[in-house]
Amino acid sequence: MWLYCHFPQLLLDNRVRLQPDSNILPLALYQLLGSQSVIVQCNTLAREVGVKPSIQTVMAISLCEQLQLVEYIPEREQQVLQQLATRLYQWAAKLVLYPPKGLAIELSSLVQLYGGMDAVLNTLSREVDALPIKAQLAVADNPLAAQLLAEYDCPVSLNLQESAQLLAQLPISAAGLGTKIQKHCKAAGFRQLGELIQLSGDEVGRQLGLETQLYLEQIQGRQQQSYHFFTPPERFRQSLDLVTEIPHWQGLLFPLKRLFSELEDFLYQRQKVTQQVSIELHHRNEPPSVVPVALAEPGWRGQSFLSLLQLKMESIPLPEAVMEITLVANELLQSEQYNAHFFGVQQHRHETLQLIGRLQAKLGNNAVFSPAMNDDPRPGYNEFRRPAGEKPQVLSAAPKRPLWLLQPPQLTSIDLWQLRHGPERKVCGWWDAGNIARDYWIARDKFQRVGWLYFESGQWYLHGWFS
Amino acid sequence: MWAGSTLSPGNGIYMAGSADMSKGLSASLFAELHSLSHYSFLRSAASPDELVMCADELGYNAIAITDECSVAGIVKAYQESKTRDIKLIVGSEFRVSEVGTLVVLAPTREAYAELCKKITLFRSRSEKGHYQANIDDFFEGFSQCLLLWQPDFSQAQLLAIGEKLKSVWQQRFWLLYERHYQADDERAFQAMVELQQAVKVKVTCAGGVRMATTEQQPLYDILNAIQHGGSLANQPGLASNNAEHHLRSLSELQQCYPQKWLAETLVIAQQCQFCLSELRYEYPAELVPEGMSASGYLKLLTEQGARWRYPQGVPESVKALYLKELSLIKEQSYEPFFLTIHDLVRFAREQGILFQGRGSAANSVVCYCLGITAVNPAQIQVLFERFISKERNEPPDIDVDFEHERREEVIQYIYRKYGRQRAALAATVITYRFKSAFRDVGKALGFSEQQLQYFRRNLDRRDKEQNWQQQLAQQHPEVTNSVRGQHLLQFTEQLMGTPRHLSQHVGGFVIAADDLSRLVPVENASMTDRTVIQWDKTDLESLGLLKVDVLALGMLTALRKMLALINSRYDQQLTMATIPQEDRRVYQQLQTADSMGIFQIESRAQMNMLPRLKPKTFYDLVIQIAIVRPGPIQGDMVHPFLRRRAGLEEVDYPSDEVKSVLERTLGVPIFQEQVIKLAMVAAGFSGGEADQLRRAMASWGQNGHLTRFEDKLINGMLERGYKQEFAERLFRQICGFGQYGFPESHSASFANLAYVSSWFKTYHPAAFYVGLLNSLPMGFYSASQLVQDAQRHGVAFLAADINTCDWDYCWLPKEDTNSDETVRMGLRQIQGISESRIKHTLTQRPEDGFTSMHELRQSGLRDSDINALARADALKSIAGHRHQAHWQSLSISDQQMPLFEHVKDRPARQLPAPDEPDNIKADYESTGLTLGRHPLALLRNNPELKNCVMASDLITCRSGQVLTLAGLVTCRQRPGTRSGVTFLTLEDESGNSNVVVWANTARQFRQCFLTSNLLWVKGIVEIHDGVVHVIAGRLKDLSGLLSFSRLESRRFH
Repeated sequence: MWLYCHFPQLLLDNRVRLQPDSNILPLALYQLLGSQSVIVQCNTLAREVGVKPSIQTVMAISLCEQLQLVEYIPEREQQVLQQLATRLYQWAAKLVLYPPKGLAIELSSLVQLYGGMDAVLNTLSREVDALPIKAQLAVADNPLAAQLLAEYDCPVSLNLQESAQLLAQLPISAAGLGTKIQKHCKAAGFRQLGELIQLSGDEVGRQLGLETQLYLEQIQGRQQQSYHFFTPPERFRQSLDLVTEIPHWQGLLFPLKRLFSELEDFLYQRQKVTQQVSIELHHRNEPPSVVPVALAEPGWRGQSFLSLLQLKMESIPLPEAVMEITLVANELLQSEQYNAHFFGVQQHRHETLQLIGRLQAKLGNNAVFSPAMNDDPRPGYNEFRRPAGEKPQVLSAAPKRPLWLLQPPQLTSIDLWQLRHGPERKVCGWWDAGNIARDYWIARDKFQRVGWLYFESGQWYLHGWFS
Repeated sequence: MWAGSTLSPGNGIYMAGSADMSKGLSASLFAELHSLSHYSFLRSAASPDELVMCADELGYNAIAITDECSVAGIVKAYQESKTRDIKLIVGSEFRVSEVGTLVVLAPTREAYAELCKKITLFRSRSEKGHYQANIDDFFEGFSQCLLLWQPDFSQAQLLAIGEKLKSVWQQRFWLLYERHYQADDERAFQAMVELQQAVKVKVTCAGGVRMATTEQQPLYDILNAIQHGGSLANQPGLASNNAEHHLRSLSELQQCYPQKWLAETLVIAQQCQFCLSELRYEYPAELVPEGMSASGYLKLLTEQGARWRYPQGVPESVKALYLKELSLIKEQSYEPFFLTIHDLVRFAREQGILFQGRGSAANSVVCYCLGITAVNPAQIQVLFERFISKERNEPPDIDVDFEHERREEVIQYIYRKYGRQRAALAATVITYRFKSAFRDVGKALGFSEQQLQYFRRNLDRRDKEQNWQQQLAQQHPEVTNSVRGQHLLQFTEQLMGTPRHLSQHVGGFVIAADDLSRLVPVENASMTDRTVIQWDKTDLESLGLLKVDVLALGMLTALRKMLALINSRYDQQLTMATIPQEDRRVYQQLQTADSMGIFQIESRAQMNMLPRLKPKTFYDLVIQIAIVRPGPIQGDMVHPFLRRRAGLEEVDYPSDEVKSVLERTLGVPIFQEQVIKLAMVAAGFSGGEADQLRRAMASWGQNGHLTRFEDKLINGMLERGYKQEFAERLFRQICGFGQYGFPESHSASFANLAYVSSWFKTYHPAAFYVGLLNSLPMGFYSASQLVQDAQRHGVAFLAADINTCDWDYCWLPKEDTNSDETVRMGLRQIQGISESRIKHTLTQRPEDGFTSMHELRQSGLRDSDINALARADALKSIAGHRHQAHWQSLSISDQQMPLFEHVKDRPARQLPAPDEPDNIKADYESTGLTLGRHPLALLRNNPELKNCVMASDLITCRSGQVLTLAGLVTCRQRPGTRSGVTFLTLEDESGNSNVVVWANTARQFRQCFLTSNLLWVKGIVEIHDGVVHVIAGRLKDLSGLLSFSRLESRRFH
């Protein structure tokens, strides 16, 4: 016996779950198929004005001017499905994913555990219902049949005979047949799946091909379908519901300590380490605050994360009181790797990384960076900041530029300088209001120092020194 | 040297070696030898005429337009240079990898021919829009051109290349130096000097111009971002460092370049003596028999033609007219043009291809006598100034329409007769329109495609109150208030009209006496085996070169088929010319708006006009065709005309001159010629000036040329004693005409086809519909609509079957059917079958027909064909109803294995037959129409449709009555002339009804208005002069009652 859960608008529901505000206006997800943009999921408000899946986005916009449009990304939906599966995994071990919108659960093995089929179903449907995610459930003797019934939103029936009957009544278009086979069936006047099932296997094979024959046998459970059971990903994720809403960091320390100690146990048991964890703080109205905490080198001790977090927390204001905390560690690494060269050449690097880690924790990740350059023609604009520690990109054929740039440039008198090379004219930046109009020169002063000068609006400026 | 406190950009760089800077600069003379216009697509922001204009204003001696492997912009530059005191040099730029940029200039006509031939060669090596040149191409084939080489100093082997080029080009070879104040200027300068010394060749300099003025820098950056598919926000490196690629002032140039190099530009310009005015179109000589002159031969042909046209004797007036025309033609040496077209139509006539000429020059007795046009010019007033105008010095214009299915034969004839070296199509310049400009500029500025679509979705380009910028500001103030949004507005407007690429003209051929590529480069078109020249229609006009328009017209195909049907059934020799003229029954039918399928007057707007205008003569049809056009409608000419025609309004003329022009159209200007003639008689325009007015009218809206004429026109009329009010009204009407007004001759040509098609519809409806159905796609209506109309005209249709049908629709002989109006559907109506395979199968059909699927397969049909036939119920005679036939056709039978080839079809299970709705649905899906009952007929008993009036009963209603009706939406049309209103056509089993939906109603019932297939309407019926409209008040979507997927509905257009 298999239970199939079909989530017809998983990504949309998940979005609404995380951001309930988005449900106040008509909302739709669109997908780009070739050059066409088509609606794939939409909320009730959008449906009310006539927006529905499979219509073109342009038509949807014509129907509803305030329609909020978000791109549908199948991979993202699949991730949500994984999360759902992980959640259900606590209750049922034999899970098969049918990405991106469905999963099947093998029921027979659970009957004993829960004490009867009804109890199993009750538990699972309660768990699914608890999510504010629309789900269509169906039961059949094989996952494929259950899938068809669920996708067509047939009523759940534990009576296998009844579900076989429902299956036979499915229209051809809902039978999961390929478009070509569907077309043939329609042209020959078949309307329901049952009419096909009645035919002999030979006749089906001869008329519609062996693949269809096999498929029909699978639907009827006469042929086993191959599938892989779901295994939850190796990562840590634990949430804590707070009894009362806590408005300040200090009050969060105790529950956090508990979570970190759980993490420590988790890592210790698996002989794993991790470099970064993130703490998600869920609020009543505001979107969750996510606070990453990264060690300079992977570790497993809860305390090392916690002390970094304590350095950091002062600078992170809480937008609202916290209702729930989630601790996530996504990347787990083997611990031995990181112990081998603990001493030796890596020592210095280790210290640098530790320093970066401490600086980031104190100042915030965005305050610590490595310099880099892009191809913006404007000096000063062409610098940008890379995350600290990342390898720099080298621009080829970069023009000669001073090592030391003065920011802001200093007014200077041309009498102090002898112009050597130039001018290099920079008149650009109209597109972001960062207009400049300068002539740059390389010049030497009486101490033989080489400076980078420019002339703009009647004035000379010193912009940098060459080494 | 210690620099002073003022910026002197030229200092510094020449410290490396040049002593030129210290010399005094006396003569301020310069010729720009390397500039790109926006015909080097996406590489320049300047139009060729802007470049010429700016260069002249800056005091340049000369400017070379050197677009990349192209001369597409040169004619526009030439037009501008004619009015100025600057020399235009023709040239082209080539980018050769590992070598750098080569600029080739054409000092003489012969050199120009070399250049064109080379461009043609380079272009022929690549697909449309690209070219391929390598350095070896520059070692031979140029004996007169000049070469400027801008080396790519990052490459090795430059010395060897330089020496080779020097040895080939000798004194016609220069190194080209360009400086744009970049960081590596100094290195480039040194490298140039070293190369110069090593190769011993002179250096000259140029601006590498990509913009006319510095203001064009942003547009230039945007074009660059578009070209690289990036945005300036994310890839600022796509922007230019500075605007030095503009046309710089002479003093800037003197600071930038050594005087010696500047002086060299003049030496080069001095050598360039070629001017585009030297280009002479040399006509094909083979059209004139040996020993005769072209004019003599044309005269001979005209006289012969006149005797054929007027068998009772050529009237003196006609003779006088054609002699006058011939002398005009002779003065301009246009004989070969007329002879060329005469040759084409002669070929078409011999092949039995129907054709008809139109256009300004078609408006002549000569064309009538030569058989190019079918309308006797005596029936309409010929405005001679339009025929050939000396003042405008432009070639005459003749378009010839051929049957759309057989135009290719004419084109192939041209290629065969003149060869591919001598004939090519004219180009059409595809320019940025609003939508493409908005999208490309937006992307270049960093907006996403979705954002742009979102901004654009509610912009109504036809809104006359608010332009699109104002609308955007109202709908998305957050966008237009931002800097980036302002840029979007500004540069979209700037980019509009900029060329994007060259495409092929619909049918304008240029034919040369010998090698065409000596006259203009020829390049590949996207269609295989088609080549286009690099100039468009206006370029050809500017140079006085002639093109021959070979166009395609579906109605001619249909008419040929109708004529053939009648002639073979009744053993007649009927032609378009011998169809009885001015037949009363034909006009009676038209007066009731029964014009579906009839050329030009089958549209909804035309149908509405028919019962009001009530055409009784050919000339009425000419007016009818011209009046239902946006021009006359916007100029408010329709209602005065109708009132006057109905005698409700007095016709008055302010003067006899005006009366002479407007009398035939009751004082209202309807044709383009009348406007021109009015400008002449009432405002004192000369013929040539009036023609300029016509051209300005044609491009009105795109530029402000028309307002130039406003003062002259109004003052001219006031001076001649006309009232201010009359003058202003006339000007308004001229503006209204815009590009939409029809010339009278054009309208007359179309009226001719309209009359002939109406005659068939009146007297031989079966032949009429068969001709149309066998010529689809064409015209305004689908096969389904035509078949229903035919059924209403008493034509019976038999269903398709592989054993009785042909590919085409057939008009069945009377003896087979007891009726003269029975038609059998053609297999062509079935979707998804291969024409060639079906036709092959039909040739093998046994006397008694096919008896099994097996035979069909053996005849060469594929499974997909057989399936499609089964779905269309066309295998009835072999396998029974469509379900059965389809199931049987699917069977992967043993016969398909060679061992069992002789085995017949295996008896299949008996499947239930389809019911009526099933059949109707399947009919629509496979053929787009049904010969069974109309879907609405099946739904009549549905409570939702209770009390709905049928389309055919609307006329019996009282005007103003409130009623409900329902029908399939077959057409949604929002005319450009009336904002805020949409016309819907609803179809039911009795016919079509017209529903008017005002903007408010559309908004209120937006969903069903936009998406419904089966629409229920409650509204008020309005009946005037037999024209019935229902003004919608409430709409309801009943599409759920049907699940037909292929009921076609035309979208807004």
